[in-house]
Amino acid sequence: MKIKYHYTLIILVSILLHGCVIVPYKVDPEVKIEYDKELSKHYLVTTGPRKLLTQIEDSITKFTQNIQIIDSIHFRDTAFPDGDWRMVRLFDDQNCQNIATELNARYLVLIGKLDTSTEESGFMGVYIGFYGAFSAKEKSTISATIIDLEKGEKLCNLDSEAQGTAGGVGFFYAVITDPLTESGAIEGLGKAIAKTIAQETLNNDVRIAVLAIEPHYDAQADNVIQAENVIGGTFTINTPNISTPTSAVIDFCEDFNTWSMKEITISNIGPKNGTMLDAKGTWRSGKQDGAIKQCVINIPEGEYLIKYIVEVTHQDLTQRISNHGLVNLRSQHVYQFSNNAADNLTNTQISTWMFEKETNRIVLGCKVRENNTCP
Amino acid sequence: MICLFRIPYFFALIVLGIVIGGCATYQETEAYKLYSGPIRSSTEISILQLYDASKAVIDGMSVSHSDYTEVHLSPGVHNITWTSVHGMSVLVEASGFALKHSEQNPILLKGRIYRLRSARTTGHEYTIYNWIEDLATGEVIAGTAKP
Repeated sequence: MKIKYHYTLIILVSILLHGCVIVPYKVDPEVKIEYDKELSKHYLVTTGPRKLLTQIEDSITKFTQNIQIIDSIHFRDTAFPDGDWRMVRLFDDQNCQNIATELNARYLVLIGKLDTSTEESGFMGVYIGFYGAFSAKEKSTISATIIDLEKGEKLCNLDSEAQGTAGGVGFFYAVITDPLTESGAIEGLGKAIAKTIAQETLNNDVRIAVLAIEPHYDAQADNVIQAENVIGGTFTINTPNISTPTSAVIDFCEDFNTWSMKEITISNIGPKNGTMLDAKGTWRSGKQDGAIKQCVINIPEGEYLIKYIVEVTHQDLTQRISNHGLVNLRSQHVYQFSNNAADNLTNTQISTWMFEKETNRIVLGCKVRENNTCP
Repeated sequence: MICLFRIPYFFALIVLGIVIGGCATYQETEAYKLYSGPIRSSTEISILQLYDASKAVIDGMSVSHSDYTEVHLSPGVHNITWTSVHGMSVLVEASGFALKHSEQNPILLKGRIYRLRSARTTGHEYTIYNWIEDLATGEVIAGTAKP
């Protein structure tokens, strides 16, 4: 019985000792200020990233007490009373100046997306303890645009970047260092915003609003969606030079080594404006390798339930990806399929989407981001 | 002197403590006001709880579940694109998780509370279901509920 208890004790001690210690450390950000950068107005003004905005506000007020922050929802409702939150509306006739007067606000600070990327080397395995060694370069970036509401123009752009290296060694027990790049970039940006405004106002009291911006996928916008890491090429749904102006042609004539269309199903969901014809069918491969190579489908414009399955190969990883959803196919438009992939520490995420070529608007699926999520 | 480690119950208690020891998180209700103008009463708006959604884009505006638990909207038709994340066995998905994206255009009525729900079946042929339900009636107003 004694031996039995000793074993239990060893196992218990092992469980309690097994683990790791993470040593976080601060990194100094590098902040650049630009006065000449053109301001793209194809954004929505939003209060969405609540915690990020709070962190920025805190880091501004930590640096100076002369800046008073206006409630972001109150600002947004005053600036965009009809719910059209496109940034371009800010610059409508005297709108900035009216907001400045109504809220007694001098500056609007618009915060961009916080991006963090990691590049790793080495390996650490976990099995009843940690074994191995790794290092990873981590970089966080965030930017802000300061708008002078009284003048109705952009003051400057600020870009904050914090870099650090995470590292770890483990032999049963692990010691891991963690660079605080995100908080470093945020604090650096907040401090730079406060410093810039303090310089402009000669340290006088000033009221500002801090909101966020996110891309606005507008048909009128420029190419907001960029082609990122596109593998191979694009499949196309086309609507050119066809006899019936309300017809769409879906044409899969391309052949790519890295991805292939395996199956596409398009079904109408019922009459729409009395023009919907019966257009339902599943186009399966007739080819040897199972991929659709050439396929032309004549269908009228309208709303369709589209489902497609593609096979994508990226860095020796082959995945079948399926997307489906309602898509409004517009006459005389080109629709294309594309794909991308994002790698992080643990896995590769591949994503595909269908988009309207003229507007770059994604109509089905999504693009995977660096943090392995689709928006 | 009696050694405590020789008492089986003592070990049982410690091991039990380790096994059931864990943590629970509680997220306060944080509402994202996605309509313009003054704040309206809950009977005048539609409330959409993110619930099983990790993130959503509602009429083009991004909402993260880590920032908000619910969204307050004007009644009417809304375009909702959302994502649910499910933890998976690595034997089924090498990444250890699976995502499901959905785009739905439900009609939200005033005074009603809706919830973004997601559930999945198990095994290699798993299916993830994303749907929107009316909290009061349990009615599925968009998507397909897990059978």
